Amino acid sequence: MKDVLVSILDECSHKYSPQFADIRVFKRIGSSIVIENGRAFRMYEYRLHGGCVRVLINGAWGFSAVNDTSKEELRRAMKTAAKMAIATSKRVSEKRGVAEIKGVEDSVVFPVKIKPEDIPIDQKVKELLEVEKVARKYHPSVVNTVLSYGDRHEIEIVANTLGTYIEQDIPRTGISLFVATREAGVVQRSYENTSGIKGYEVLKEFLDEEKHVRAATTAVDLLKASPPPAGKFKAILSPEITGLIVHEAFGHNSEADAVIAGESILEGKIGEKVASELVTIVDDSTIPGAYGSFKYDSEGTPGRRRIIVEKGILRGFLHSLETAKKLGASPTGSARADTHHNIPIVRMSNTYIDAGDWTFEEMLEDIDHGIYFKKSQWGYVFPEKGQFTCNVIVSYMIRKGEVAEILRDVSFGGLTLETLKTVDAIGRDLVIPMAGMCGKDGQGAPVCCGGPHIRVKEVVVGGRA
Amino acid sequence: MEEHSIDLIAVAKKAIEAALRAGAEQAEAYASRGMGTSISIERGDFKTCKSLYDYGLCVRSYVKGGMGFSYTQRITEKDAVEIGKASAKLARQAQPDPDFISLPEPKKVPEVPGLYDKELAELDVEEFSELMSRIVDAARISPEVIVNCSGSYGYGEYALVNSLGVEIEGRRTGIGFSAFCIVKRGDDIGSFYEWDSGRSLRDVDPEKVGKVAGEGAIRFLGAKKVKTATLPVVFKFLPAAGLISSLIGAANAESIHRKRSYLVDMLGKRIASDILTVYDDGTVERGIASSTYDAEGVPKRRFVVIEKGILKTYLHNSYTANKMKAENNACASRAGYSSPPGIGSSNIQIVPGDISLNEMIAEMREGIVVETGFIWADPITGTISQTIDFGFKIENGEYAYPLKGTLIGSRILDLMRNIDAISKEYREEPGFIWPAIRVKDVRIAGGA
Repeated sequence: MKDVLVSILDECSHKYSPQFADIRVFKRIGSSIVIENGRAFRMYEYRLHGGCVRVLINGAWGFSAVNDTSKEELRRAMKTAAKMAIATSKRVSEKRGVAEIKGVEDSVVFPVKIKPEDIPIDQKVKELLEVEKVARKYHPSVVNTVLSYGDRHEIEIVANTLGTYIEQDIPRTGISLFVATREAGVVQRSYENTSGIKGYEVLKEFLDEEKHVRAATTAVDLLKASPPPAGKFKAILSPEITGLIVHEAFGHNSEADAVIAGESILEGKIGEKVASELVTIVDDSTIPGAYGSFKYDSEGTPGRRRIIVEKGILRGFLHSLETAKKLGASPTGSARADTHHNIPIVRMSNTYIDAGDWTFEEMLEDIDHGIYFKKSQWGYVFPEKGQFTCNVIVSYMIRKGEVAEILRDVSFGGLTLETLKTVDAIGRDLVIPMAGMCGKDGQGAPVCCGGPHIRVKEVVVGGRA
Repeated sequence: MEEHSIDLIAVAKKAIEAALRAGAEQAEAYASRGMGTSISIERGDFKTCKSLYDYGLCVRSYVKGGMGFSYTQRITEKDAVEIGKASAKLARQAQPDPDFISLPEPKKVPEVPGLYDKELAELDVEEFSELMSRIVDAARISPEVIVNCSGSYGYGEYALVNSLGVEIEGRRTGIGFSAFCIVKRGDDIGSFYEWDSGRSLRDVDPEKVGKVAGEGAIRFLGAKKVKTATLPVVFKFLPAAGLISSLIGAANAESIHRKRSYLVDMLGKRIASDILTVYDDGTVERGIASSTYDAEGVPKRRFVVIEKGILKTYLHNSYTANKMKAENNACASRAGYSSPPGIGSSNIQIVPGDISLNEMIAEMREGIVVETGFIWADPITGTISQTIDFGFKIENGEYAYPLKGTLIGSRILDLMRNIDAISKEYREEPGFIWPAIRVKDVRIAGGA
């Protein structure tokens, strides 16, 4: 494959004299099993396959993608991409460029303990049915259980005119369990998942943490939960919620493409205080086994551990080759593309707030009336205003320094810079538990996020009471 | 646009034959291909121009109700045979599902007109670039407005075949674009967005999109926090559409059958104020969500979902209609070749009221108007707890100031029952009709 890609890049250089060009060849092969209410009656298999070419001519980008990896089709894509760039270049007033880093050649395969393909499908079904059964039989109020298991391999080959040639094979496996309960007209639900750059061993990890029991327990407990109050509250965030807030409220603001587009509250703030001095925020694509890890990004730049905020001071942004050039920074290996249909854009990997030295009990002690946000569902942000929303399915009132009654279905929100400046305690219990797909510009990217328990002086809670 | 010559019906039939030979009792194949072009603009300057030639094939096979689904991004006859066989093998490995009765039988109806526009299919990238430039020019109502835009257009064709004789071909075009504008005056930041879409060039208005987004960004400067209170709220066209679409989404018969929806046991019961009537019409000429057949080949139709506040039907595909012995209202929908059909609504039409939007707002002594943004209810629990990202405070019946850090907390059924006005003005996107709604007594959480 290398000869084919290099020859197309050579042809592109000869014909169009681009500032930069790259080719990616992509393959994703996956399978999944869905078990619902005790039956494994839906099975899936898929194969994505294709290539794309990106060309930078006269300061303008052209991109073309095809579901084919033959030399003939990739050459055709190269010519289309050049045509697109030339058409656009007439309308570009500020020429774009890329950071010129040294090309890298490497071939990477991420090992797993148990290859999913080595486990017969009958055995998978039998073992997964046992897991789902525990949740289904947990309580008479359980009305619906859906266990989804999926494994996939992603093979991405990147070649560019800087001399980079990377082959990377990333296996990802995951299990998720959804449980719905119903009683006296009230419907509730919970879910748990374990996903990572792992193999079939995720099943054991899921069971070791008793997530199947936890999903059922939570969905049952929520039936008796109270509606949340509305207004301003002091709050403690669990590691999962800390992860959600660091990803949504802060992480998206630190993506340099958002900064350049004027869509980040952090524009022009490098070196300034953007959070409490207790807060250090890290994005690290090198954590072994984590769902958001990789060795090279989709531009072939090595991923690394990057400190975004150090003791409250903004130290830098996440970069692609283009944004690094534009802002005079070093590429951070943060340009990721979902498939060959997509242009690499700046993304987070595994993002977390670093550990502090508080215990959970110490944080609780001086809260007279507050909320403990425990389990999250989703979040989003309008980064230009720094206005974020975090949806939480399980939370608890805190009364006189103690965790009190359970609350259900609540969102809290705030303004990123205001909220992070009011963090007044950070726990020592750092974990990065939340694996999921992050959506941006129509692309999905596997990411992880987390942190320790943290305490925030004020958030606004969208409650009903 | 360059393209290959592929007989999609022949490929789909080949896949079905392979699936049946490999033991499938019933099978369905869907093949599609399309060309798309998209442009992104950053700070008013062209950023990227992208071309995508996409095609794929999927097959779902059934054995004793157990389903195997397989898809690929290659569509040669050889791949069709492999995918057909693979789906049948998965269906044999799946456990039986007694709730599955049958895929649908064929039924032919006349084609819904206006879904394919030759002029749009033949648009070249230069012309599209020109159209995108018009958005930027219209949005730059002052030099301080930062304009980011994206847009795309393209055409596609598809074939759907099942082993009971369904054999459908179709083609369609589409265009859509959006503008997101930002104005910064020190720490004071205003932003707003607008979009448009259609199946032909005559359905879209780039100048309007730019102007609305640019003016909106300036209007949203000077945002303030409010105190926690219970207030009336006017949800303008898009937020109203979002709320009601999420309510309709919970009427998904699969969710009802699995008991994971707050609308379980609500058929024939009051779920909204008696001034609310909502239709789903998949047959509107040139409609964005129109199609002649649903994703399983059942002819689309117009039907009432909520009539004077009463839930009249759930949204069905063949699986749920057969199982629940209900009429199949042709709501099978699919995102493309990469997933089997699910259930979804098409063109949602909310029947407008008889009061003007200005009157609805002027009648509020103190209240809130949600200008845009998507506010939705959790599809399982029906809870709403969300930030009002683009809201205005109303004082003495007039716009006072934009909001920041303000959340809404409610339940969708409470909101729907508390609708006390629907505007006579509405936003019309091809096929869709979205008036504004006013809801009394909404719990608002503020940071002031």
